[in-house]
Amino acid sequence: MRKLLAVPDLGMPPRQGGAAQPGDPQGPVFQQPWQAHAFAIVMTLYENGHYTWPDWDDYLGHEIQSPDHFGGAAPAAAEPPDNDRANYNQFLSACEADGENYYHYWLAGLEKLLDVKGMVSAEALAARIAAIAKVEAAGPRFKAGDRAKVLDIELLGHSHLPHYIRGVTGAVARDHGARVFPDSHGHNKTDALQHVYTIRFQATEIWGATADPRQSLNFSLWDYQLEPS
Amino acid sequence: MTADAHGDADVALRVRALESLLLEKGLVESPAIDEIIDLFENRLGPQNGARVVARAWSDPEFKARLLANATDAIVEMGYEAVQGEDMVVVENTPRVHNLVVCTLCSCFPWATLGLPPVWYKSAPYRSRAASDPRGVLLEFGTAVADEAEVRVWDSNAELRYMVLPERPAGTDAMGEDELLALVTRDSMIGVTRALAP
Repeated sequence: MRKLLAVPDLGMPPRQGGAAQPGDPQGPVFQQPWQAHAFAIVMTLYENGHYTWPDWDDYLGHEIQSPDHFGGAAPAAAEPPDNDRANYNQFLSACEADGENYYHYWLAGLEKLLDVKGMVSAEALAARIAAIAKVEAAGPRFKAGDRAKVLDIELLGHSHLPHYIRGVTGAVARDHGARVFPDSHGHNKTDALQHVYTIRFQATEIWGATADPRQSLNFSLWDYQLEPS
Repeated sequence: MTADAHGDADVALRVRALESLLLEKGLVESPAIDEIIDLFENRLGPQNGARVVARAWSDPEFKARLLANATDAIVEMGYEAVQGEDMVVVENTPRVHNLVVCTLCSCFPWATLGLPPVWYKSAPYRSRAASDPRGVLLEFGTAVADEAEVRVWDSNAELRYMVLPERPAGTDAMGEDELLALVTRDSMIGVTRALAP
């Protein structure tokens, strides 16, 4: 059975109790969860052998060195050297204002590397970004407890819709969130990302009054297969 | 956080989109992503480098091995290179003060110091550490004697440098566990000295 892929939520695992403190006494290792994920993607692809470290270093170095990123601005002017704490803090804040862009360079380098290596094209990435933005802006159509009717449709290439529940109305038991539609590469009839719901039918709703009233049938169904009832 | 050109929400969406495509293609796996985040958040960091330094201060034979072949000596302590990079440890003395920078990007000894601080990755530090290291050191509150040499080490992807700071005066009676508290990340980059007891 094919795995349903959720869009990552970019949450970070909780710190382990008793583990050593993270490295940077001035703050967390990653300032935003997306930075941790961008970092971990590069490391995982490297460990899986998709590029060498010097390969990656070229792409990252190119982004960091690119004059565009610094807007042509000169580095912070050298202050008259002394041991003044305020002077040190000023130097550090100049450094940090610039260094905060670091993971933007990291992500930009990763996107280019994946495009060049044919792993994720710029077009595929743009399409996925649009798909996620769309499904998140729309929000779920159903919530637990709603009634939903299964559409009587046949979709080429994706026939995980049993005939005997077509046209039947059931109760939404659970919203599983937005998932990647498995066959969205094969045709254009559905969005790449859709909410998946557990729909619960009483056996009587499917088989009629003679069915066992103590039985229910439960299905995971895609948003496109349902209409409000 | 200062505002940036894209906005964190937009950038977060880009990363999620990229990760979802890579998961779908089987090029990355969620547990591997979580494992790496946990490794860098919780297990790698200057506490590892501090153990190496405290041992080198306490054990002359280990110190000799560390300066001769840092890669092996660090592995001996149980800290493996993350991307197969080689390590070089350089020793601060009254005559030589070492300072580490990566002028090209952000190379850093991850196994012993974790990820670099923000300022290490910034253009002002990367450019000025190479052109005016004494000035940079003064801004970190570190005055180097006039007659001493400042040795700047520019890291790259294959070789990573870590500084063995001078053991502070007045610590002769201290054991490794006590010494640990004196070894800071910045002192192993070379921008400061180890703390006084």
